[in-house]
Amino acid sequence: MKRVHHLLVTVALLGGAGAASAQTTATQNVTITVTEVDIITVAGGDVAISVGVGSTQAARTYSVTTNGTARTITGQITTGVNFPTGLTLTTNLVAPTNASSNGAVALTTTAATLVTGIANVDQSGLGITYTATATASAPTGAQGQRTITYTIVP
Amino acid sequence: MQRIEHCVVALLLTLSAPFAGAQVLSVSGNPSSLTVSTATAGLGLDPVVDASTTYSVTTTLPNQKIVARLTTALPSGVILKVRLQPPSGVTALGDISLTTTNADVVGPIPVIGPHLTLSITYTLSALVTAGTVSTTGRDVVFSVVAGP
Repeated sequence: MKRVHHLLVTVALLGGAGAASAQTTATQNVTITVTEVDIITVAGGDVAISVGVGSTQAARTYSVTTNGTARTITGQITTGVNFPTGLTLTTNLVAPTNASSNGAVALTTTAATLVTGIANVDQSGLGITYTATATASAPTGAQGQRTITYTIVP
Repeated sequence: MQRIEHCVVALLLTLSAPFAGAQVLSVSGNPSSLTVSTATAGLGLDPVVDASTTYSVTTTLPNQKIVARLTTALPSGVILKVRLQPPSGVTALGDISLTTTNADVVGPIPVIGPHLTLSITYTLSALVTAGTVSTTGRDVVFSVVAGP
């Protein structure tokens, strides 16, 4: 009789412990990553500039977002050839916060640095000023189209 | 013979008492990896969403709620939000930013019983000031507690 009594008590304790640990919590592991992200866009559409001897300006804006540091914006002509002698087109970008602009820079088919020192920035509506300048040596009646590409690079 | 009878009664009470107050919570597994890798210029980094997992909760008491917390803080500038589909009749709380402090993710559930296969949606976003974040994991602990 005594042995039976002890066996039943033991079973009761095990049953209680199992139920007390019922799943009132649940855990998920979430894996996260943030990669380098650099993006620049230009707003306002195409620019048409007519210039006699002298200068004419046009304005646009750009937006830039990067989670990187020490970024640079370059600009170059990517469709079309360099402008003929006597005709230049410069671009002048307003720098994002804490970055530096190189001011008006002549555009050619070679990438030129326009803005330096960009870091962890997310801004829009930053100014772009195009200035077309012709001298007396520029060919009259010249007309051409160029594509200007801006790139943000490490 | 008298002693044996008493022991059997005690056994039944011990087994049934925990079930009367025990809430059961489970999740379907871990969500897919969340990677922030794109942006909209001037509008910040694009958040990413995962809604691949679910949870089930069985309540045995009324007005139990679910809270959630991280066991380890996120890197600075990184935001992880979670949204749990509430059981029927429970008001949705929307996206809740996870921290190391418990926050309500499901409000008091008035109806006792099973509430099965409800969606869990994670949203990961980051400020540009966060820089890059190497792949890392964070445990999210969901708990059933008495409301409200």
